[in-house]
Amino acid sequence: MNKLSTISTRLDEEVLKNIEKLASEMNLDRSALIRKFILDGYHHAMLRKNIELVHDGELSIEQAAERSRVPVNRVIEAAREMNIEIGADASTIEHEKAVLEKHVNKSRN
Amino acid sequence: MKLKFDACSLILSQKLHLLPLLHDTFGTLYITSAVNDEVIKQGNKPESAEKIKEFIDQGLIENIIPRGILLSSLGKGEGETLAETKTQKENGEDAVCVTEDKKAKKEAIRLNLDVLGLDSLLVEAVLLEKMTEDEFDDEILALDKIHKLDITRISELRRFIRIVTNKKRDE
Repeated sequence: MNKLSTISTRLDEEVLKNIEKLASEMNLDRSALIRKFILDGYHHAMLRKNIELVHDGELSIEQAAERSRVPVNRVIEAAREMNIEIGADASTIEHEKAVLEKHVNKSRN
Repeated sequence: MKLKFDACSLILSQKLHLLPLLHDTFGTLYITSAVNDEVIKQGNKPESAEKIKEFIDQGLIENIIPRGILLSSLGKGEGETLAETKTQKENGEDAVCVTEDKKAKKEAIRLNLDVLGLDSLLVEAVLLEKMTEDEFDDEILALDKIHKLDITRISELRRFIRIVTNKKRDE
């Protein structure tokens, strides 16, 4: 197991009270639940950042999946949930139309 | 024409139940071993992985070991898909890679390979009269629900169908 380090942070009392209530309902101690929130938030932020890099054309979909340690399927689903376009844009359309045209002409001959 | 799918385009085709239509239109569909690993072994949804595995077992999809190694800045599956397309093209085959990924598409174009997206592949199905224009619109809507599409791209493809079908009618 990796070595754990301690961090300290300040939280609004009302929020802390609600976290304690939720922790008790989930049979977790307060720090375990806060740790879970931080890890979930971290994974979500990493996934979002990598999906944005796919949108910008900096990463491929598989690279984003690998970096986020999730399957390709999860990247596709998360991008849709986040309403981020990760598919090709119109910049390659002329090439694709030329490929289609070539195939149509071939099927006619 | 030999179509080689990367993981994303294969997963989306399966989710939209398009694989039988694509097989009927284009013949055997090809994937490389890294794409197979991604969709079957590495945590794709079990029911989806099972369905794709069924298609492989039935011979609709053929899993191939890539013959070339492409050192590229892509993921392993995308890189293998492009490498295999390149090898087949060099061997004089009519090879097309199918990817939804903009980085992979640009890399394919840079390598002078033929590349199509799932949406443009459906355009070809319409032009080959394997799908009606209404069915195309339905599939594009369904695709957009699970994989946000670029509206300019879709209207360009729609316009292309109109031009080709009008031209065909005039002949």
